[in-house]
Order: sequence, then structure tokens, then C-alpha cells
Amino acid sequence: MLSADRFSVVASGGAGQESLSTAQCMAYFRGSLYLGTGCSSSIEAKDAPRILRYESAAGKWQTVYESPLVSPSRRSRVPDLSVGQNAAGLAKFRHNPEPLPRDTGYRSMCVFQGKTDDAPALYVSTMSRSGGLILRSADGETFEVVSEPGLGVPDTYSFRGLLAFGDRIFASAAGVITDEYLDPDVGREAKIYVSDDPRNGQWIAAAEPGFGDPSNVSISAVAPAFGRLYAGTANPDMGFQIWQTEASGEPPFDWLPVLIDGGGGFNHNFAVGAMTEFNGALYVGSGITGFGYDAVHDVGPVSCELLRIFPSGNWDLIAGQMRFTPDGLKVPLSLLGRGLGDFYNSMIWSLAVYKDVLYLGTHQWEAFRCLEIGAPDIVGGYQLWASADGEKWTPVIDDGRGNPTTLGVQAIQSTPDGLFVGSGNYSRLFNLLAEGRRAGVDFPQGFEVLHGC
Amino acid sequence: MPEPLFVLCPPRSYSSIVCGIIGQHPDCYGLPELNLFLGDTLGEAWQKYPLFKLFLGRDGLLRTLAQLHEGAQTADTVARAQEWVTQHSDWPVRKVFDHIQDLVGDRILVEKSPMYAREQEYIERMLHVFPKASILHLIRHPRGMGQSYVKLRSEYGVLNRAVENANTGARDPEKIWMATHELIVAVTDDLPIGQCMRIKGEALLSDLESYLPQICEWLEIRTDKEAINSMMHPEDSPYASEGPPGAPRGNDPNFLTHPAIDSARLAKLSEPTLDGELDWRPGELFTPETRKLAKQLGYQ
Repeated sequence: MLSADRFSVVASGGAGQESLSTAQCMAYFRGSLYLGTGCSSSIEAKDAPRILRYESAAGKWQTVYESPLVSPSRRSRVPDLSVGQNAAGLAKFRHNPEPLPRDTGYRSMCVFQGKTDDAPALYVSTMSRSGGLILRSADGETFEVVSEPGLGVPDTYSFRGLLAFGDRIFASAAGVITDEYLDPDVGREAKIYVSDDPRNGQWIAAAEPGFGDPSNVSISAVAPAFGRLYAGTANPDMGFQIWQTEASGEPPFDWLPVLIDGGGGFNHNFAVGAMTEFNGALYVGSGITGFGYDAVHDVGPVSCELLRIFPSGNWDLIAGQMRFTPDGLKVPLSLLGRGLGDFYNSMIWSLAVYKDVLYLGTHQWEAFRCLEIGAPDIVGGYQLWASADGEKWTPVIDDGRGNPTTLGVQAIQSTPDGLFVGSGNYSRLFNLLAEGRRAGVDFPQGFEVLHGC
Repeated sequence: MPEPLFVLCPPRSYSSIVCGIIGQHPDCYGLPELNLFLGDTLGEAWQKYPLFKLFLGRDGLLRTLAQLHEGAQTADTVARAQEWVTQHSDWPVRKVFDHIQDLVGDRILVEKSPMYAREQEYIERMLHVFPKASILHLIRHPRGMGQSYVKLRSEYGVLNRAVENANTGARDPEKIWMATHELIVAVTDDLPIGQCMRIKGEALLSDLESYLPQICEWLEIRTDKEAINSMMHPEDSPYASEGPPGAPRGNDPNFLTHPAIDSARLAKLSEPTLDGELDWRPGELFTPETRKLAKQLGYQ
């Protein structure tokens, strides 16, 4: 198990561009780590998010793609509801007639060889106010757009969970952009698409929207396990659902429910944040999007939970609220309650296995609460936890590694070169909100990437 | 001695039948409504509300003392229980509970006075007196609770008048539902893992076979067939019928007349909807606050 001193910082301050707040997604392609970055407020040319490549041997980052600039539209300026009441504070950024980046970031990436790809290619989904796109790169140097905006639904802000499974690639719609608002996390319909030829932009529905349940507003995570594909939803009414499919035959596939009602946590288990297979079980991190509170659906504040599901469908509660369920009494096996014992851990955003150890990264938003209540000290920040058996968990890094506005671990990638941990930094928003409220608050901006080995 | 189990909920939330069921476990002792945490001492609790003098508040304790002191609930034993209360009015409520516990023996006391969840003071006193007590937060859909509340008041005129006169501040069942559950959630939120468990009454009662073993597992008591079977007979409790003159109630009047489990009826229990107008406030809907909390608790 990697301890904190086994991690080194290989990128900080947004890798030279402070406005890049989030190390959003990672993939290992052609012997290098690729990183998709995000900008929480991408409204000027200098904010353009990038795709970066890290050469471990040289310890250097290289920009391999940068968002093109486009003319602003009405949708460029609509408020981001994920920051809720704080959105008003961003208004001063929102009136710029100059060209601005098409993309606000890169949400998901994976390596896949479709039927017209000569070799495995890197596929990347954008977060774009003009509709999320799929990018493709055969060489890791040049990228091309290979989809329509939103795969034909321009209101779709992005796609998460790009995932190669068998001879197909999957993508789930994430977020919605309208002429009135942006919700970057939750969409209008929980759609999941599949393609065997993404190079030619041929995507079709892999399931009926929301798996037939309209209260599923998004498919928030997908993962392979036990030779099946699992999909976790966001559901503001009754809590997340998890569905599975063999993905055999022609799409749309047959999907079966595995867990509903947020595993008995109801809508306080709003969404699945991350899933990964480990030691014969599918580990599921859940919680809520936003700063512990979903402003669109008025759910929260709540803290995250960790579950695991076995191939049989039986499941354990690892960390969370002990409860009665239709599947029996669930006692948190780690003896950790909701939020892994920290109320402000609102979501488990990332899970990854490295050298037989499971790592998870949280979203911890306490800094904003400190600001709201005028606390004398600003504390908080993401936590990285590890477990060798899935039940006993050890904190590896906490307090955002010294920056309480580094709220989340958005991406963890296990590679032959080591474990990479990418964070999300909200200091730009925090510092803005702190203006006029308190002096001496100016936390460093930009994401960090840690390398552990 | 084991820690007691307190069932917290608003009125009309299935607490009588649930308390009756759990209380029939061989390792438990189900009590009627004692209302002891309304004061620091027995005397203080006894005098707390005019409502209790009129109708509900004292019968449960009188029946309990009569039963445990003399093995029977009659007009005479209840009268002597009343004398005992008068003589021990300076006892702290913990001492009264300990007295009952001594008489019951090594069994978990199960109690469910709905009044406990009406005031923060009462719950906090309960947790101060029994900081390690097990707590079952029992919930019922706000529409079902409200309809039942209104129906009971219409059926029992004396209760209606008592509530009208009690000046309890909230006569609307939605407000009672909301205030009570908000309070329970807030007070129990920081308790150690597993000290407070939450359950929907509809789910529990429509699937006793699934949930009763879980409750036993939680309380670390027997889960064998014999124990579960005992729980299926709340009517066997000495408090599951109308009491003698001087203490006729101490529990939900409907439970006292029909204490047995009606399996066929319970199997059909379903949850109503949060949508649509309210029976007791025609033309009005549940407030957004009620809907939010109800969804948090698992209702639609």
C-alpha cells in the first residue's frame, strides 16, 4: 500500500495554466499517461482546457490538444447550477464578446479499437456548452472530432464513462445545457450509447432511457466486472440504481437491475460516482454531486457511501449508514459511517486498483462551509484512502494535501509506471467568494497530479 | 442490564403494533406509553400536560406498575399504582426506569411514547438518561400518517377536544409529521453507528418475515423461529387490551381493540403518493419541505 510519502507531485498549478482547475480524466495510451483537464469557468481564450501527455521517464508534460476557440453564444453565459447559490458570484465573468474555448474540459477517455480503426485509438469526450463531442486520436498527437454535438442531442453537455467493453465502446450522457442554465452533472434523460465504429460517429442507444425508469436522470458511472457491464445512475427521487448487462447480441441490450433505491439509502445516495472491480466484487462509490448538495433537485447536504456487489447480486455496505434493507441488515464493514466518517466527504469520485490495493478519492467541500459560516480557519480538502482487502480502509492523503480548496480526486489511473492521482481545485471560485468577506485568503489555483510508486 | 429500546415517531405511525411486536420477543419487554421523559422527575413528568391528565399520558405507567407490582391490572391495583406514583414523585425518571427494569429482569425494555419526539427537550433528556439506548426511528408516509391522524380524531371526540385544548402548537398532521421527523433526524444524526436505526413502517409490517430477524440481529437478541413466532403475537402482551377503570388506555385505542397481526391486511400495505391534494387541507399540497424530507426517508 502506497503511503503519502510515496507520492510525488508531477503537476501543480494546472501544469502551468492556473485556470485549469481539474485533472478530470486519465488513460494510458501508447506507453504514456494522457490527462484530460477541465476549467471551472472557461470563458476566455487563456482558459482553454487541454489534453496533456506525461512522459514518465523525462518527467515532462506536453500539450497534445487544446480546445479551439468559438464565438460566444447565449449558452456560453448561462449559469452553472452545480455551484448553486454561488453561481451569482460568477456573473462578473460572463460578459465577454471575445472568442472563447469551445470546451470547458475533457470528461472521460479510453483506449479502443473500433472496426474501422487500424489500431487502438484514444477516444476522449468533451464538456462543451455547444454539446459534448467525441474526439479521437490514433497517435496521441493529433485529435479529430468524430461525433455530432451531443451525439445528435446538442443539449447534452458531455459524456462520462467512455468505456471499452468487448468489441464495443460505451458512453453515457452527462449534464444538460440549455438557454437558461447548465447542469454539468445531471442530464434530462439517462442515456447510454454504444458504438462499434466511433471513428465514423455511429452511436446507438445501448438501453432505453433510464432503463425504463424516468426518475433516473443520468447514468453517472459505468464499469466492467465479472464479464458484465455495470451502469450506475443518478436518481434524485429514490436514489441511485445499478444495472447490469452481458451486452450480447444487438443493442439495445437486455439490462437487469442489481440494486435500487440507493441500496436503501434512498436519495441521499443520489448518484454513483465511481465503480471498479476488486477481489471478486464490484466496489461502488456513491454520494451527491455539487458541494454536498444538489441545487437543481434540492437534495442534501449528504455524505458519500461505499458498497460492494458480488457476482450473485449480494452486496455489502462498506462505509455508510447502518440500515435495514430488503436484502438484510447492512452493517458498514469498515466501521466507517457516511462520508467515511467525515460529513463533508460528499462523493467518491474515483476508484482504482494498483498492485492489489484499492484506492478511492473523495470530494470534500468543507472549505466552502467554513467560508459560509465565517469560520476562523479554512479547513478541508480531498481525501485519498486505500485498502488491501476492501474492508479495512486507511487514509493516505487528506486535507487536499495542504490546500483545502482542492476538493476532489477526480481521476485515479493505474499504469505500469505507477499510480496517478488527479485532483480538482476550486480556489478560483473560493477566492472570488471570499472577496469582501475575509482578508488573506488566496489559495493556490490549478489542479495537481500526484505520482505514486 | 440491557439498554432499553425507544421507538421514536410521530403519532399514527404504527408505533403501537411495532412496539407490541418487538416487545413480545422473549428477550424483550414491551411497555405501554410511559411518557416519563417529559420531566426530570416522575412528578414533573406526571404534571406536564393537561392533555395527559385528561386522557392519555398516565394510563401506561399506571398499568405497568400495577402489572409488575401485583401481576394484574385491576381498578384496585391501578389505584395502588397511583399511590406509588404519588409517594415516589421525587424520583428521577432514571430511577423509575431502573425500578421497572428490576421488576422485568434481564430483558430489553421497549417503549414508544410518541410525545418524546414532539420536543427536543424530551429526546435530549432521553439520551441524557440513557446515552446508549437503542433507538428505532419509525416512519410512515406523511399522507398515511395524516389521514390516520384525522380519522382518529374524528372517531374519538374526547381526544379531539383534548388536542384542541392542549395548545400543543401543531394540529395539522403534516406539520406534526415534519416537525417530529426533522427533530428525530437532527438529534440522532451524530449518534454512533447503529445506535439509531430507521425503518419504514409500511415495509416492516408488510414483510415481517424479512425485517424482524434484522431487528433482532441489530438488538443482538435471538433470531430463532420460536423467538420470531413470539413476536408475531403482540396480542399476548398484558397491555394489548383495554385496561381497567382508572387506566383504560396507555396505547393507541385501535391497537387496544385489535392488537393481533392481520397478516392479510398488512401484506397489502402500500405507500401512498406525495402528489395530489391533502384530505385534511382540500386544495393544498404537501409543502416542498415535507416532500424533500419524505423523499430523503424513501417515499415518493
